[in-house]
Amino acid sequence: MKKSFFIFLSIFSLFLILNTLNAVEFTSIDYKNQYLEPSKTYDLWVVITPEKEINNTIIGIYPYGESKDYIQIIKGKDSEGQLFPSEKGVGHFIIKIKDDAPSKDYKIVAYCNYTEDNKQYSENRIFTIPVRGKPILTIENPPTIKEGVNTIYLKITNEGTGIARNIKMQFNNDDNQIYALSDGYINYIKPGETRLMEIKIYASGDGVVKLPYKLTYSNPYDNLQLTDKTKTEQGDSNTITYNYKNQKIVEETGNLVFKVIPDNVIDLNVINYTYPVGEINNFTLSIKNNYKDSNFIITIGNYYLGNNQKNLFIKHGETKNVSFKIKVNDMGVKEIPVKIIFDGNEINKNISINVIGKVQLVLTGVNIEGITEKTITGDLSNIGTTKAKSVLVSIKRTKNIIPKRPYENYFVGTINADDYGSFELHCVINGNVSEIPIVITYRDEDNNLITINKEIEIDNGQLVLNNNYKGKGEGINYFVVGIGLLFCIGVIYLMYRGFARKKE
Amino acid sequence: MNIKELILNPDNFFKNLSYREVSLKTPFLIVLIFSVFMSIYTYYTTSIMFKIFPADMQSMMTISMIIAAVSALVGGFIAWLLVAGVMHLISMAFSGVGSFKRTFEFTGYGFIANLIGLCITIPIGYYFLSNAHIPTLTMANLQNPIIVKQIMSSIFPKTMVYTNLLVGIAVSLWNLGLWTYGIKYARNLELKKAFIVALIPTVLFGAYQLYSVAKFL
Repeated sequence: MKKSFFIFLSIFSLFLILNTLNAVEFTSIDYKNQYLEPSKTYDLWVVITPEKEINNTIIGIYPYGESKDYIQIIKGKDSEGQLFPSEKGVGHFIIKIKDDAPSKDYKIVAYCNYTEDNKQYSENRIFTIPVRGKPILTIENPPTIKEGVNTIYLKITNEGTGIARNIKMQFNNDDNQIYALSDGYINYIKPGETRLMEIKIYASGDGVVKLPYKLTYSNPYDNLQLTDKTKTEQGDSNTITYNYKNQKIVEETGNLVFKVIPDNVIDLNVINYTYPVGEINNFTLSIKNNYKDSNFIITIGNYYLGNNQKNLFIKHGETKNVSFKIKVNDMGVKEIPVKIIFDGNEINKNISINVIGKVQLVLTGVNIEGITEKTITGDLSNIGTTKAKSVLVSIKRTKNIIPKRPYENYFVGTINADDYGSFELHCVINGNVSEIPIVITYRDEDNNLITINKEIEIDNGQLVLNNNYKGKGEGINYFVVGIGLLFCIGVIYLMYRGFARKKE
Repeated sequence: MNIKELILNPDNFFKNLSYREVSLKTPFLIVLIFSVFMSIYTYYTTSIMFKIFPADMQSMMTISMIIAAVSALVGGFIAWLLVAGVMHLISMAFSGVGSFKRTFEFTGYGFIANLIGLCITIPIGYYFLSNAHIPTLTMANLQNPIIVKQIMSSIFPKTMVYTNLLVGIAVSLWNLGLWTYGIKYARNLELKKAFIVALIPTVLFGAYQLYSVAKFL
């Protein structure tokens, strides 16, 4: 009994194992590239090999997990019909990698539905699809260059999804009218990033010229792409050769197109290079036209208030000024991009200006005490935009004003912008003095010694005494004095009369 | 009392008066009127002067004005007493004979000169002071003697000072004359001795008065 039961179990298990064995083997998945790139559409082949005869065979694919967000199935099902044992069935599919797909390995499920002995079966297998971003570089060059040597900046933008490294630009210098004096190089450009490549070129003549270039850069990954497939037959054996090209180093060629204009076609100068910070100023450019009578459109790119573009007609050989309102809130050397368009030409130039802080010292809270010996106390307030260093306040000695030690001068030190420093000065006043001259010295940001003279008014001369007695002013009213004199004479006469009579 | 005789012939006036009994009624009246006028004039003058003080000090200045007016009122009588006392004492050195009451009486008549002088100086003073522009000074200004002097010179113009000076000189001379005859008959002195006796208080009193006026120059 035991033995027969064991035999039964063995046969049953073998039956189950035989039933679970795949009747279809997923032989391969092929997309003819080492990596797939975002925003591209690819053909995909899935090869199956059945162990047995299968019917109504349908091969399909669908994205798995995160792939659903980044892989679009354009054609995801292929019918193969009847397949005999060992006969390969190839399903052709079309997929698109979405634009925003990050570089990573995605999973895709390949399945096979078939019937065997009128029974429906389905088998599947997960494949990996490696997606890697690829850089796409675009080049923008300044449209106009002048005769002679130019240093220009090519604006190179990576519009792809992968980082570009070792970007080199070499030029074909066969043309005598234009040739490059240097090659360009940028170590990397990230996706979506724009960087400037400096090159020096020489141009001569007048007109539109082309400068052929070869741009090379490297992909971040090895990228083998199938270029061709060759099949050779040698007797009974067939040899298939696949040729792949490694697209890691990308090479592109093209032409930079420039319009060459005569050298010194215009002389562009700025009238004032120095501006106070935080104030509205006139930024005035002087333009001399060496070209021909033209209408000029001048545009500034930064720090402007109101209109940043002005039109100006300048005759040949004439110089005209054009002003813009600017306001710069930071100190230091600042660049203002200036674009001048005239007669289809464009000139771009950065004008450097020096934005400096300004010291403004004012006397506040000044108090004067004493009569002949004056004690002057007060504050020096910096209402400017930069600090005043080594501030020293002193009384200027004059004939009637003698500074008195130890406060003939007072060292205040550094007064930052929006700050103040107190001082005390002593002096002796002789005679009638209406104001006390004060000398303030300080060093500015560039250590220049600046001297300011100020006067502190004292009250002596401030009173208005306008007692004008009926137009007599400060003069003597002789009529009134005459009354007193008459009285005086009368008394003297009276005295004389009295004493004289006594003598008689 | 014959004022006309006192003015035009003081010798005869005091001579006649010396025969009568001592009466302080008239000289008291003269000194009183002089003191009242002086008091009013002082009050008015100080009220003008004190306008230079800031508003918050004006209440204090009112008290000072009253004190000044009362001092002027009392001062007239003190001056009368002092002049009489000094002359009586000096006349002793010249062997003067006569009661102090008589000296006091006759000295009081001498203030008629001051009263008449005041009748000239008060209208002149009122004329100038009522037209004066008085600026109110700050404490800093008040501490400055130069400013204060400027203001005082502005309030009391030179015309007024010169006139008062002349009137003061005249009054002092007149005082000298009246007090000379007064002390002569009060103390039975010779004219020369009486003059010397009267000269000393006159010089002192007159010098003080003239200094009071001249300091505004």
